[in-house]
Amino acid sequence: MDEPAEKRGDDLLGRGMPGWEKAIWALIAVYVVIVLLVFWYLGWSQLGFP
Amino acid sequence: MKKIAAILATLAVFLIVLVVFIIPQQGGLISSTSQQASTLARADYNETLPIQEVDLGTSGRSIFIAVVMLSHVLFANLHLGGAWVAAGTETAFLRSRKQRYKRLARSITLFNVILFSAGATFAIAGVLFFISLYPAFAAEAFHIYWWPLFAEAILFAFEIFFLYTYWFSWDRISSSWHQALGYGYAVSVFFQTLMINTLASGMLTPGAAEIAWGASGILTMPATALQGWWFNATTWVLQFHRVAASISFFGFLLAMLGMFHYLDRKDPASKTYWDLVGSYGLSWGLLGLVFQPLIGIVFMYTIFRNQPSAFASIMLGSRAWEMILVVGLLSVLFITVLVYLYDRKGKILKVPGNEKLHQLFRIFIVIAAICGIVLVQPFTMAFGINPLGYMSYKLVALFVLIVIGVIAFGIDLIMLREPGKVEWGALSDTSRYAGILAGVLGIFIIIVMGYVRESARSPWIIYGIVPVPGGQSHPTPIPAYQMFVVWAVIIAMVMTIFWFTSKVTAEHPEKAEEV
Repeated sequence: MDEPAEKRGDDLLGRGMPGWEKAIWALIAVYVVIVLLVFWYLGWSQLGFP
Repeated sequence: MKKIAAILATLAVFLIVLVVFIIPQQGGLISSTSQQASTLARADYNETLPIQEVDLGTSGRSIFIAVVMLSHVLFANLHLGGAWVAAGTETAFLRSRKQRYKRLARSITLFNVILFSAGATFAIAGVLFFISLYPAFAAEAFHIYWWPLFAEAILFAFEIFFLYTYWFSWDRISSSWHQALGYGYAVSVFFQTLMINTLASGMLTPGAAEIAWGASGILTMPATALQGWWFNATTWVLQFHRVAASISFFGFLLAMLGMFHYLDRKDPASKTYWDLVGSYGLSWGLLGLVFQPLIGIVFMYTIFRNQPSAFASIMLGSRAWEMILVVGLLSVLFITVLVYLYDRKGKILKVPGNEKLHQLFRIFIVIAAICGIVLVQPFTMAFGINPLGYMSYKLVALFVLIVIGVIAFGIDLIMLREPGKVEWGALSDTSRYAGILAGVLGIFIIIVMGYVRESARSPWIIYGIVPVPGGQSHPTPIPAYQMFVVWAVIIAMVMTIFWFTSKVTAEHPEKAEEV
């Protein structure tokens, strides 16, 4: 059984996070940057939306 | 339940405002046939056979096609998205050895085995209807796309082989070979869909300005011309948009069916299991969902470059209300998932040290609601420009929704990674109905997006080349009010089929599982 959640606290997003999950968060960050760049380039520069 | 009631009330108000105010204001009640009358008059293409009426009014033929093709898409997406979910879920079992993943992978696969025939039946009905109701188009299209359609037929055989052997060889061959069959099933569906997408995309962005036949032979046009038709401007972007949408659709469908089973089953073991399935399905739903706006803007840009009048129609003109409906439903879906997570994760996020995360979800819901309000603002109206409807604002709102969506996805993964910290099997009413609503919205969005693509090319079957036969006496697209009836019928039909099939295919745990 896992350690009681009350003792873990922020471990959910901190020290207790396995490596593969850190990799997923890194991919999420990269994806967000890609979306920003694509939205910026296509949305504002190319499509010229008002 | 107050939150669910608020979401439903918001959705109802949005739909009423859309139907009563926005659609008439944007000219959505005027057919594209009427709007493009002068262009149609110059079209150098004539239907020579008499028009087959179906006794459903002037849009009867289009309604027939819409019912069978939109229904078909929902069944086809069970494979395009569900194959990856099934094989991926088995991978999760093989890595974690948690029986619930094996049970779920088997349930999904049997669900797809049984419903394969339904999807195929609607597809064949669609082909027959196209041949009978639009014979000249069918003759031209099937001729141009002979080789992709031939390849599709072979890939269908591969799909059937992989799907059935995947199911019937379970526990009878090694896990590595079984996984090869599972992913072979997913890959064969991917390429089978790509082949039919060569035709579907070519109807909106054809590879030439006219159909110019060559001589008889293996290729009836020069190879470069055929390549232009098959791999036209939107083939690949449509393909990837459909894959993302299918995975999202299947995930939300899984969540909805999980919630139905949760309500249906009385034993604690089943309640725990289906609670977990609901959360698992939402993870897949979110994964597919966050990719769609990114691929969607690339799709829009491609249409803008290659079919600017269609782009103007669906983004700024009389069909813009359809995009407002899509982003409105998308926003409500995001909010619904956040409400699920807020209530579902109440226990995990309320523990000391995590209160800020819980507070963060509350803020996310408010921000998502604001984004939704921005996204559903119409731009062009009969009275002029709505200053709140600028696309610049909408792009920011979409970006914020994506950021919130990926964070919610990550949090859901944490919950599934540490299931011991969650009190499974004790779902709140709010989370239960949020899961169900997410499934309904997932289905609704798919069939609205299908309609957007079809109406974008109205009044043409092949844009700018083959008009819908019948001219002004047979206007297209299907009028908005009729389309809402078609959508309602399809949603009710598929939900009934999905639920009763799931009742047969679902495997339930015999005893409570250690989570």
